[in-house]
Amino acid sequence: MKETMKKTAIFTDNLTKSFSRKEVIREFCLSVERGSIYGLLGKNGAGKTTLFKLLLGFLRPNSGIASVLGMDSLKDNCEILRHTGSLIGAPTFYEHLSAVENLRIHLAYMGLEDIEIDPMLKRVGLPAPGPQPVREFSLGMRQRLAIARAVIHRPEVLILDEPVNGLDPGGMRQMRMLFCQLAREEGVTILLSSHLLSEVGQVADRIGVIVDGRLALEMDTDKLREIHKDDMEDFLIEIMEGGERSDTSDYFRN
Amino acid sequence: MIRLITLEIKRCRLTTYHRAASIGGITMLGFLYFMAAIPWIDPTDTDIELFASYDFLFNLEHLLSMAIFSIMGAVMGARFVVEEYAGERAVLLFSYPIRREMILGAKLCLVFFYTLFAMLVWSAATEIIFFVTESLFPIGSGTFSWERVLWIFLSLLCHSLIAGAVAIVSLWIGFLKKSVSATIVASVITATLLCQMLSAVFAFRQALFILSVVLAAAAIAAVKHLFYQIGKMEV
Repeated sequence: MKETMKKTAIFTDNLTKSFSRKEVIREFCLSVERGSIYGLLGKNGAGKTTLFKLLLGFLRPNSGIASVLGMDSLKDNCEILRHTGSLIGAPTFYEHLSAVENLRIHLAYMGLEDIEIDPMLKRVGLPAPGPQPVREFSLGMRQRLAIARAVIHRPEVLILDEPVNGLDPGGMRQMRMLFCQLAREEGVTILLSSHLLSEVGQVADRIGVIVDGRLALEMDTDKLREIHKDDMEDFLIEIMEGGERSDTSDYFRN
Repeated sequence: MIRLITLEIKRCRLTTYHRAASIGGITMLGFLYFMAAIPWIDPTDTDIELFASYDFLFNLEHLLSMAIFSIMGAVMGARFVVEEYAGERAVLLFSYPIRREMILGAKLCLVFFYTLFAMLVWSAATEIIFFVTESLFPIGSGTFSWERVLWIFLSLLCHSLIAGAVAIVSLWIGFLKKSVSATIVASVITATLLCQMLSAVFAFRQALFILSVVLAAAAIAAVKHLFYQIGKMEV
């Protein structure tokens, strides 16, 4: 059991969260291996962002356990945040400051002021952004900067809510390559959510589908691709809409 | 905490507040001269002795400065605290590996001490200029004894403390309401009430000390409640 927990970077057990008596996350059980990329799919309002906020300690669960790197999301919140990079919802910045200044402030809060900023900006496709304040950035540039901010302090875990939102196809590919590099070469565990099935399919080692706050389906991407060579997209959309398919019933979660 | 306050200063533009403080200070200087000149402008005024008195002039100046800097401090609090925690930026603030109370504490320290020191510095500068010109070309009557100077300094200190406390209490109201306008309205109402109260007990100097202690206690209670709120806040 201990060995299993050591290999697990993100873990939830019967995690439940309600807002105004409506259960948004219901007995959610998730396990993400260290160094892997887990893609979470779900419709709008399925509970993806709520789950991420529970993992990061931004919300208190009504019941159940949420842990990151073996630490409880509420009790060890500061320690988790030290080792985690996140992108939740629409990214916010200090709008009057430049990209470099925003990252410098972020690193100062992280207590890592000696990390170089320019190589990271180059890595996310924002080389030499200059003194331009962030309020003048396009949506794609803001998204790239948000990813840079999530990654720059060398976290062990990345929790990314729709990270390629607003990026052009070239940008999406660049981020895909970055995520793969972070996971394969640097052992970073990545939990990301997306509406773009093709993107998740290309980058994730394992895919989960969240439906009405529950994990409806969880499968290795290779296995999913093997079973559904021609209709993977249709299959996933049907699951996201709340349907069930008898041909993969073994992989369904209650 | 010093490091967090330094970070707050780095990422927030204080230029606007420097400008506001300097405008407030210069306005109060002009106001002081205007009030002191009333006996010359209208020698038939029934309150001529009052306007000629340095005690009255400085007390009035302290009251109005307190009101101005309280509102300035409340605007600062609205910007640095209410707007940030009511909006999307709360997620960013909570994503740092620093206790939430520490980050909030740094913001509150910045608001309180900036308000206090801005009023102290600008009012002191105003009064020193007035003192120098009065020494050369007196408009008011009376003398600047050491006792009077000490009282003016103590009064300024108390009024500056009150200004800082009003900024914190207004910020607390605005935070609970999640509203910038509530913060500013609260500061205007509180400052107005305090000015009324303090002008009514002008001759009773102890009232100033009592009110300073009461406001300080209110500010401390507000801070404690803010810490409690931020600890259990969900975003």
